[in-house]
Amino acid sequence: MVRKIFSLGGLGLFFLSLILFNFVGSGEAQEAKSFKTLKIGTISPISGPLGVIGLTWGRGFNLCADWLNEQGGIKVGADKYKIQFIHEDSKASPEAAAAAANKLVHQDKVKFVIGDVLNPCSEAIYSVTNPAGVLHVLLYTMDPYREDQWGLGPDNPLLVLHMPTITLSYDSFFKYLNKTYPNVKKLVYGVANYPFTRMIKEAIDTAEANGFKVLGGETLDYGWTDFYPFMTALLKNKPDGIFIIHGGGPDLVAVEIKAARELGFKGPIISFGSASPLLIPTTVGAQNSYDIICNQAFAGAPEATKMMKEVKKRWDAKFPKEVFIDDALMAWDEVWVLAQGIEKANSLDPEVVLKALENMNKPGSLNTTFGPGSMGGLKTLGVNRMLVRPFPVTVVQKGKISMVKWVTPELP
Amino acid sequence: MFGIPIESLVQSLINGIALGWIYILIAMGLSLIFGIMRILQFAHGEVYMLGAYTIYFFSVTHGFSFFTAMLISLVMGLVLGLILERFFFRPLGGELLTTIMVALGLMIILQASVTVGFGVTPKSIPSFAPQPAEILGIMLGRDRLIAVGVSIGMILLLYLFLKKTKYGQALTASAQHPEASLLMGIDPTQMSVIAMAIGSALAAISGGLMGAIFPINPFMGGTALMKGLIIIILGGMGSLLGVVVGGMILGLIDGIAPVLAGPAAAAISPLFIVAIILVVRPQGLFGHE
Repeated sequence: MVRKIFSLGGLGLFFLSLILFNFVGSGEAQEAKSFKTLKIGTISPISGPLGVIGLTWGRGFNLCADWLNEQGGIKVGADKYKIQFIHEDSKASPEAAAAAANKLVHQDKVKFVIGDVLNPCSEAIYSVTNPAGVLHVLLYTMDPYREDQWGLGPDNPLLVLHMPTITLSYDSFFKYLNKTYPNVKKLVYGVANYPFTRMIKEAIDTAEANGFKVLGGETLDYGWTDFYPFMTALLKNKPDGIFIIHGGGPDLVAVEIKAARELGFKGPIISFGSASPLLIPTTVGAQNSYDIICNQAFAGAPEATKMMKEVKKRWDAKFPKEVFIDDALMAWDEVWVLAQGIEKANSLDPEVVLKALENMNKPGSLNTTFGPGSMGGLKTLGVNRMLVRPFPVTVVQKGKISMVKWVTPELP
Repeated sequence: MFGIPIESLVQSLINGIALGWIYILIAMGLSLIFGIMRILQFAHGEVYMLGAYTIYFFSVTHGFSFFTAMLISLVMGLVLGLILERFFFRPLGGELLTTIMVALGLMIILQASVTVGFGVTPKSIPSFAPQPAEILGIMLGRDRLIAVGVSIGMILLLYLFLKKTKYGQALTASAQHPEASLLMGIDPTQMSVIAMAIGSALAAISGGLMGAIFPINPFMGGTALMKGLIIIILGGMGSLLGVVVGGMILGLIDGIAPVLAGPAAAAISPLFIVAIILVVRPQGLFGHE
């Protein structure tokens, strides 16, 4: 009798589970029906000497996609799309970047590719994406004015940059340096050994226009760990201040500053690119973290925007063991701006999306983690395809990081 | 010289000497383990990396002073060496291929464990002596000078241990004549235990010293192992003097070559010198036939 009851009960449970499974299954099917998937390819240096940059950018992309998906996805007509990333490693090599682009475009059939931080890699990606009608979103540009490099312009359709070039921040920083440190007159610069020719020239010209004398500069190579020889060579000029145009990576800039301080340099140090303010006091030490100025944001500062704090909160929740690197904010914007372009275009056609982005050129027509932005560059580059948004003047003083002012550059 | 001020050259020279002494610590441990156990401990770089992370964990996360954390790192190295010898290498009986496989496996496991525990982003141990030191008008990093002092102290202690103590002499004998030392009643297993423990402790200390100078990451052991091997090949297997000379050559190259000839030359010149040594004197500068 007891056995019979158990077997009947078992049968009942079996049917109940079938009903529940059917119910849950239909719910999933319902959700799958209401959301479509938008596959986006990303190519960045996940391995090699720039691995920290690639990993951080990848995390920023994912955090933004999670957020957008939670908000209901990207709306195109009656459809809602959830973002699904396919991340590929460029290994900081154009050959690997081209191979990754080929895979994304021809095998994964993506319509949008985001990448890379190095111009030669981006050029290799573009050689694959453009003929296939895929929109290529750049992560960085080494020569925004195209004096001797490939890049944004009317001759390169289907190419857009969702971050402002660091050259736009030069003038504000040299003015800040002039005002805050009136005794600083002689400067030297450090820059990664890559084709930054125009960016270096622009920095020197802007410094000199602000009354500084630039005594010289030194290059550093990606993959270096010891910056004593580099700093020794820089400091032989007896400068009052140092500016680092591109320090090779957020972790490396901090080591370069550490070397300068340990070698007795007491003047102000400006970092225009690739510094992560949070890494500076932890690497350089609180005692030596003074008079350091950089154009990267610090999402942990009280002056941070609501969205910057949101990104950091999500990072801290998802990667509790990893220090927040502010490159994640720019990575977030790459995706967010693209999503806004797609919604504005109300289409997934890369050409229509690019057109919509180009038309978002009124101040405040785009949202970014740094504040209101827009696309600019028509007069300067021949196309409205570079994101212009505010950037902070971030100062590290006695180990404390603060964003002392916000500057919104102009890119006609 | 080459349009570079003499002050910069001297600074680079002293920087190279400082790096050289830390490299010597790494290579000394590797050489000791090879000399006694006849194994190439490919996971030696990971012990070095663990030494750095131990210091990071205790000094940055838990607020211990750098030198207390370094002491803990030293003990960790000793204990890890004992564990590695007893549970990973002793059961293999010195069999070449399996030993290499186990060492490579350990390398991957230790890297992965640290990645899981601490993440992949490089971490920094704040300088224990952040103020510069001025010697004859030349500015130098004080922590590098202290690192030199600690390294020389450790090597002197090792030298005294090897020359003045019963166990040290047994260790030397075992390295020089394994069969003869066995006939004299020296227990090879006991020697392996001592060599692995001391070698691992030296690696852990050098990792900590290097961690106070450069950022640390779970994969830093690869470079350290490479430097250790270059030094041993340069100096000659099993020669302590060879390790010191080899380490100094490598340190000087790392310190001066980037200033004189750029980073590419600095990266390839040690390998170039190793290639020449292997052709001209395969046993290394101070090694025996």
